[in-house]
Amino acid sequence: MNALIWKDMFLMRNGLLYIAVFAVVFSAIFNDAGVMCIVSSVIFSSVANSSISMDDMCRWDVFATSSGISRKAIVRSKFMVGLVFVLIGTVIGMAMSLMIGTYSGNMDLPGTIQMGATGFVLAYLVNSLNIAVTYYTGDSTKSQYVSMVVMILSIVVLVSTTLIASEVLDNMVPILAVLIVACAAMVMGSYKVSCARYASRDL
Amino acid sequence: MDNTVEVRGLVKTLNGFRLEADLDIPEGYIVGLIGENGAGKTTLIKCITGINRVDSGSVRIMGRPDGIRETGDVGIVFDDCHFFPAMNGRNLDKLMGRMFGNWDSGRFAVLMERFQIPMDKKIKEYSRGMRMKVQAAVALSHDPRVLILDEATAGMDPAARDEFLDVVLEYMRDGTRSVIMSSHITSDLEKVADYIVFIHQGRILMNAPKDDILDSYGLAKGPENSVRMIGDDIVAFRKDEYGACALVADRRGVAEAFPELVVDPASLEDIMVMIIRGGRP
Repeated sequence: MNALIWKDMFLMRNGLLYIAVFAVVFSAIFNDAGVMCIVSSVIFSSVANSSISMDDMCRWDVFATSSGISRKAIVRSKFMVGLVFVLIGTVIGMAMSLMIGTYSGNMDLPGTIQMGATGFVLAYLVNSLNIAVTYYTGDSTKSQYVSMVVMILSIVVLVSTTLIASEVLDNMVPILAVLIVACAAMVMGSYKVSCARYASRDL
Repeated sequence: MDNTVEVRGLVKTLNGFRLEADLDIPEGYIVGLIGENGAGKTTLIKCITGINRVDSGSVRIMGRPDGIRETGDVGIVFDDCHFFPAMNGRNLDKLMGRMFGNWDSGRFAVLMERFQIPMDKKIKEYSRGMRMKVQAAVALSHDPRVLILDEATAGMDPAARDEFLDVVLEYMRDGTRSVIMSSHITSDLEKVADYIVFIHQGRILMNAPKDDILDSYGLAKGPENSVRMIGDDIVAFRKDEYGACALVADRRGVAEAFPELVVDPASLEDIMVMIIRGGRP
């Protein structure tokens, strides 16, 4: 699995800069420090799906499977790669929030950390759902449209819910706790669905 | 004799096509797979390597339980290259070093040099022959017990094919490894294979030592009526503008019994063409 993660990181390294710039510009539109954390994380969550598309283009899985790498390891590596990229997106989002907070004189470190954690959890959920959709449909090209809809809907729902909740509650911690538990369950479900579908397919 | 691969009762149905296979790949031997396009050679290889799921039956590699494979047991060269176009030889070396526990960087570099592939050249710039060779270099650099070549020499010029076959024979030298080689270039198999497996319409028609096949099969030619007299010994029959031709499994016996016929040894290609295009008399 180490090799598979290295492969994806190596192949996506050039695209990371473009994704980072896009994340910075797109999330700046919202002009809200908390929202920036979430949007940046969610944008980076699409990268794992892109790595599946790259594999599909040259049918890398055919070589990997025939060489003895288990299908479960291949799926697991995509979830791990997603974790890494969402973490990168979260760090970028939090850095932007802190910079803007510092510039405007409204820096809120605990709030930024909470929003960063929220963004990370939600973005990883989006990432996991996208991966599951891709493995379920068996076609990364077709699933891109479904994944795009999932991602946009997720951003709208998550941003709206977060803004409303942060207005109603002073403290995001209870929301975060519920989110973490729910998201962990859904991530595990996505992983199991991905493994099951991928295991049953001819490559 | 130990087997590196054992296929028992394998059945695979795919888009209306049905493959059934039982065979053993013995340790220390090269097994040639022949058959027409769509016969099931690649499907069989995909079932052995786990790329395709079998409907029933079992595939055991190196004596392990059905379906269990260790990374690196099998080295494979496909007719299509599945490496990333943006990578070059050095990137592949790093990747494979992380994938395979017994990856030999030195051997990979030697093979790439032998195949005249620059390490810094990206795969998207490779010719077809180079794509096959880089797969071979990768396959031979992690010391697999079984090497599978699926139309690996297609697209190579004769000199490159000769070089490639030399590399395969060197790989076999220690006597503990096996090769499964699927190829339409039957002359290559006549050079290197020990056993021949002929797959036709999803079934194994022939599974025998190559030398026995080439020693016993023959083409009996002559006037149609005379050829028909061979009777039940005819494996396949074809009429041509000069008379008829029959593939027989015992050419010496037929030559003795029918001295008026011309009985020539049959090559693997002759056997394939007669069985695929011929019929019963």
